[in-house]
Amino acid sequence: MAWELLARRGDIPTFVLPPPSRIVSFTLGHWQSMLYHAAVTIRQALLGFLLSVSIGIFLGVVIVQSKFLEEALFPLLITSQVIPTIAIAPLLVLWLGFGSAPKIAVAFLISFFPIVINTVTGLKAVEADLLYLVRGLSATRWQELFKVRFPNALPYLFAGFRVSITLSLIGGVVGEFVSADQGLGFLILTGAGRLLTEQVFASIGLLGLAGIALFNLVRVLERLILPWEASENIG
Amino acid sequence: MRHGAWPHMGQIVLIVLVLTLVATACGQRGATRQQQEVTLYLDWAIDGLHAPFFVALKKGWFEEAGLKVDIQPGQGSSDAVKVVGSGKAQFGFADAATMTKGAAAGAPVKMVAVLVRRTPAVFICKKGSGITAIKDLAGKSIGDAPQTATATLLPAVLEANGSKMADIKFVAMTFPARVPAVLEGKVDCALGYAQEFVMIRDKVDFLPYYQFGINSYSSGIMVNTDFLKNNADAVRRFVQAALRGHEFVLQNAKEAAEIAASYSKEPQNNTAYFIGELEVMVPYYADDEVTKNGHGWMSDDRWKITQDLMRKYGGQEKELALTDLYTNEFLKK
Repeated sequence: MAWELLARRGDIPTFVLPPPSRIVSFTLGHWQSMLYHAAVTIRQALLGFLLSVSIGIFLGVVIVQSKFLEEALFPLLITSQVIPTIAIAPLLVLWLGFGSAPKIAVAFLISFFPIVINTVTGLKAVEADLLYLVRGLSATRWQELFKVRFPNALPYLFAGFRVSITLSLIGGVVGEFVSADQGLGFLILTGAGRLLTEQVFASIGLLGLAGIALFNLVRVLERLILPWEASENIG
Repeated sequence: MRHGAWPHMGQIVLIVLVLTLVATACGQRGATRQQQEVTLYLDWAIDGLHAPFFVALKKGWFEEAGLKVDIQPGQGSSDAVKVVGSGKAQFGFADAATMTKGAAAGAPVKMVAVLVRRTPAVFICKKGSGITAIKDLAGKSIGDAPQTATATLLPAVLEANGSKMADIKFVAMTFPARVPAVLEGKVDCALGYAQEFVMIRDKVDFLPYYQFGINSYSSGIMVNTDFLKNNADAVRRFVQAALRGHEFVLQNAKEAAEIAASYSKEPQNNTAYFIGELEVMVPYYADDEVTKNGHGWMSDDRWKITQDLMRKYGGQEKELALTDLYTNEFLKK
């Protein structure tokens, strides 16, 4: 409301900050194209997220099961997070080509770390009594993993998923900033270049909606799989 | 294993050899019948200036030339030079001066035809400002994003007219902020490329760099030199088809703009914008060299100017032989 009034008073030119009404009418006026581009970005983000889930959980398990691998892998993992993705992204385009692959790769790189950390934390945060119990019953390390640690870690995993799915959307957009001919990131960049500010804000708006939708998707899944935990979580 | 039930080693080797030979022979015969796949990497998202390539694509001229061309948008001439230099794309469309700097830094690229024959760099000043020459800029504020080619050449155009950077006030700003800044009077002038300002043609005066002594070449077709070594004929066929597209664009701006817009995935129809761009570009596509030698043709003189500009103002360290930078050999049919 405040935005609409501010923009309409005429102080701010439309090509800097368009009033929401014009952004909405742009989106509705080009809804097929906007939806197409949104679908492209969301698809790339989701595929990156699925990669993050599988590889992230795998790495988390590996780190918990082997002290040696934990010490070997952690420095590499931290380094991968500290290097600015915007620097790696052009290299990914060179290696993976001009299609969806580099965007999915960037989405993965940005989003897998929280899943690793949360998997490790969750797997380790088992009550000591529970572990003594199953070891007393001669459980192997792997039985201990699957029957005790894993179920206990699920809430932590889902917390990681919630963070990760929003990051994967950012990753997909960053990938598009580097090289793309479609997607919301592409629209933001070309819109900015052509002074089509409504296009830029419409894309940002759709990005926000996509983020909320994906985040809620994870919450719904969590509610289905862990009904006793989900009610205690805020976000 | 029972003896004789399976072919023994020697026979297996022979069969594998024969199959490989057959496969290779088939492969080669297939390749000459098939289209050669190449990638053209642009300097920006699909634009009116890229129309020649989309015309050639749409009208089947690339196909006639035995080429299956994948056209990819890019993120600036530097990006295009890097991508073509890496070999990921065989052809690129980029600014000659930027290409020169990249080549001097080691990128294996060479220009084989120039389309935008003058730099499209311009000052835009609000209409009614009274600024018609470089000397009128004394004491004025000029806005641009600091890392752009236009900002890099600002000292060049000032010094070519007896001015210097100290005479003006450079105001650094983000790329999208330039036009609002000029239109609102926050700066006297801004810098950019002529075709960017199609939509505000009626609100600003243009001072083109080329009218004030900057005679470098601008955007043209560049090729990865490693690819060129083994595929000279493909390069010739590509250039010929692209030039055919270029000539079509000059005669049929509206249809060319429609074709280019049809390939763009952007939500709004850019046809009108592209037509405007092509109108703005008319003086940039023509000069004496074209009249004498046809489109795409380049000269030592103008290439020397282009390289010298980059060496003096663009931070280029190494000087290359002009034959390393360009060739006209693919322009003849």
